[in-house]
This record gives sequence, C-alpha cells and structure tokens, in this order.
Amino acid sequence: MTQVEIAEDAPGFAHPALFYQGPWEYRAGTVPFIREGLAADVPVTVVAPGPRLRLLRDALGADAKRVQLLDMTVAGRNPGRIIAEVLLATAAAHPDRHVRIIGEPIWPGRSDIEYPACVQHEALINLAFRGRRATILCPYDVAGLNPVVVADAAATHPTLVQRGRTWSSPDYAPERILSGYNLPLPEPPHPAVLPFDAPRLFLARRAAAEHARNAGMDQERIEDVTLAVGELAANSLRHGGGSGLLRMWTDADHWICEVRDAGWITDPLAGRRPASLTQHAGRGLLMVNHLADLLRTHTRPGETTIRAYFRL
Amino acid sequence: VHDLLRITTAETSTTVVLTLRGELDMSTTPLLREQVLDNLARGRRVVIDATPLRFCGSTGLAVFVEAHNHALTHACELRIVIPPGGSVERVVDLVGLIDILPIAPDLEAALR
Repeated sequence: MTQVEIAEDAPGFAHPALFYQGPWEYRAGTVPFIREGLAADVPVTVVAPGPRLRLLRDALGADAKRVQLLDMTVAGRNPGRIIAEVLLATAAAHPDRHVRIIGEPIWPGRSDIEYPACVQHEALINLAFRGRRATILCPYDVAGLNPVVVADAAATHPTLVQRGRTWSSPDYAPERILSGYNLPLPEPPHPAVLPFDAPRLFLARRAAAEHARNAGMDQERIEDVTLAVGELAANSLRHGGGSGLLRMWTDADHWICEVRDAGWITDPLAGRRPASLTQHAGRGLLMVNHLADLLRTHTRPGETTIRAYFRL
Repeated sequence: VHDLLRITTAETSTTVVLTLRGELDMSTTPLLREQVLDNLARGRRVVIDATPLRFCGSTGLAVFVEAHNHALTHACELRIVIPPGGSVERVVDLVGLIDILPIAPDLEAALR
C-alpha cells in the first residue's frame, strides 16, 4: 500500500501523520502525494519550514510552480492562526475540490513554550475539518523530535504513515491532547499588573502601549499589542465576568501580555474560524491570533488565562 | 468614558457626515451605532469620517459591517472615510474587510 491511497480513497477528510527520517523519506512520503494531486488537477498547498520547501522545490522541478508553497515559520509562526488563515482559507478557495495540503507545524526548532499550542492546533484540525473535503498530511521529523511529540502525533492523527506503510492510529484521541495540554502557565517574574473593567478598558490599552514602547518595540508593533490587549480585555468584559487582570512582562525574546478573567472558553475553535465577510462580531480572538507570534491559553470553569507573545 | 470618542455631526439636506475623534472600542461603539443606524433609517446618505480616529477595535469594525449590511438591504448610501496607510486602515485590512466596506480615501471623495 502506498501512502497516496489514503487521500485517493478518502471521501471526506483525511489527516495522516507522516513519520520520516531524513530527506529521502521526506521526499518519498510527500512528492507522490503532491504529484498525484497535480495529475488529478487538485489544488495542492505545502506549508512547511524553509529547508523542507527548498527540498520540495528541487524535487518537483517545473511542477513546483503549480504548488502553493508557504513558509510555516511565517504563515504558521503562531499555530493559532494556521487553521483560519492557511487550512480553511485554502479549502474555501476551492469549495468544490478535495484539496491536498501538506502542513508541518511541528519541527525540531519549536520551543517548549510553543509546543502545547502546536499540538493543540493539530488536535483541532480534526474538529475544524469535520464534514469537509480535504487531505492534510503532516510530516514529523522523528529523528529530530522528542519521542513525546511523536507519541502525541499518534493521538492527533487518525492515520499514520511511515516508510510507505499506512495504518489507523490505535492511540487517536485528540480530546485527550486538548485537555492534557490545557495547563496552568508558569508564573512570570515581576510583571506589570493592571486590573481593568469597562470604564478602564482604554487604560489597559494605554498601559500596554507604554509598556511595549519601553520595551523598545516600534510604532507598528505598539499598535499591534494595543489592539491585541484591547481585544483580549474586551472579551473579558463580554464573556469573562465584566472585569479582568492585565499583566505584562518581557523575556529574552518576547514582549508578553496576559489577560485573566472569570470566564471559561468552551468552544475549542474560538479564534480559529474565519469570520464571514458579513458577520458583525466574533473577530476579536481571530485578530489576536493574527497579530501575536504565539497564544497560550489555560481555561477552566471560572478562570481563563490567555497569554500573547510578541517577538522583540 | 464618553470623552474617549467624540462624534461631530455636519448635515446637508441629503447627507450627514459623522466625524469620529478618539477611540472606537467596546465602550464607545454604541454611540456611533445608534447615530449611524438612525440616520440610515431616515434615508440620509451617511458618511462616517474616521480620519481623526486614533483607535478602532473589532467592535468598531462590527458597527461598520452592520451599517454596510443595513445600507445594502435598505438601498441606502454609506461611505466610510479611512485614510490609506493609517492605523485604522491596517485593522480593516487585517480582517479582510478592505475590499468589502464602502471605503473612501478622503472626505472629498466620499462626498463626490
């Protein structure tokens, strides 16, 4: 059995993980999937880290022009925006076709802070694409990744592929991943703290702008963090009991803001569904996902904490 | 809080221009929403001039979208002045509304 059959036979949605070691196995696992899609005139998108894109560009030759190639370290730097801005956007651009997407959101360079958001994203793909037509093949560099990551991939993908062999994952359990990585976030050292409510919403934005300016961010990024803090705090007023706590700090690489309130996010796809062009509300978290380089969330009944990371 | 957004109104017999100064957020958006929908309901041509607006969050965008939908279904005329290159345009662009909303680059173009 070759791995391309899983896509061909899938009437609806397929989400296989490809476990590969080295460039040869990577090419063998991806290039036939791409070529078969092109032969059937199916739209093909690859979103992967730069070195993988170069590998595919070389392997595909002239056909590379027929594939949409996106750099995952840019388009998917924040894993929270991949579903809305890459995966569902690609599917929506070809509503009558069974699109083929190769997405590699987890690579050995992902940090420990990023990883929980990345694996939650993988779990949520299954939810976001329920009832849709697409095949999303997710390569995992098993030589470079932690064994825990590979074990998690078996929980977030219903199908696994390795060296040309395809099988159903006996450990498939995306809900277990969603709840298992919904964990309290580590306490930051010496954050700036500002409680807010409706009358002090604008003060939260101003405090964020000033804190970001003092951290050396440029004007455009200051506008980004102002917008992000404004949206997170507005969500607290709307869904989180009418008030919240804003905390801000920096680490070696990021400016970080956190909004905590008394809400509970029960919709796991909140902030990941593209907004229709005519809908009025529901763009706040989507905007934050677009602006930030990473979003981490811990939510439970009576308390939600969202952290947004912006690279310095 | 209401000083956060100042809306000044200039009207002719057919057109009302609502100029927004300050910050359009969740706390100030209801002021604009009421005025825009009220004027559209009275059959006026409405121009929202967001040129002096310093901040626009997603609730502000929601009112722009709601007013636009209202204008479409009731055959009213609506223009929103958003200067190119400013922070409000960035937000509108970011959420993919730049080609959807009836945007004019300046007041003169909006009134033409």
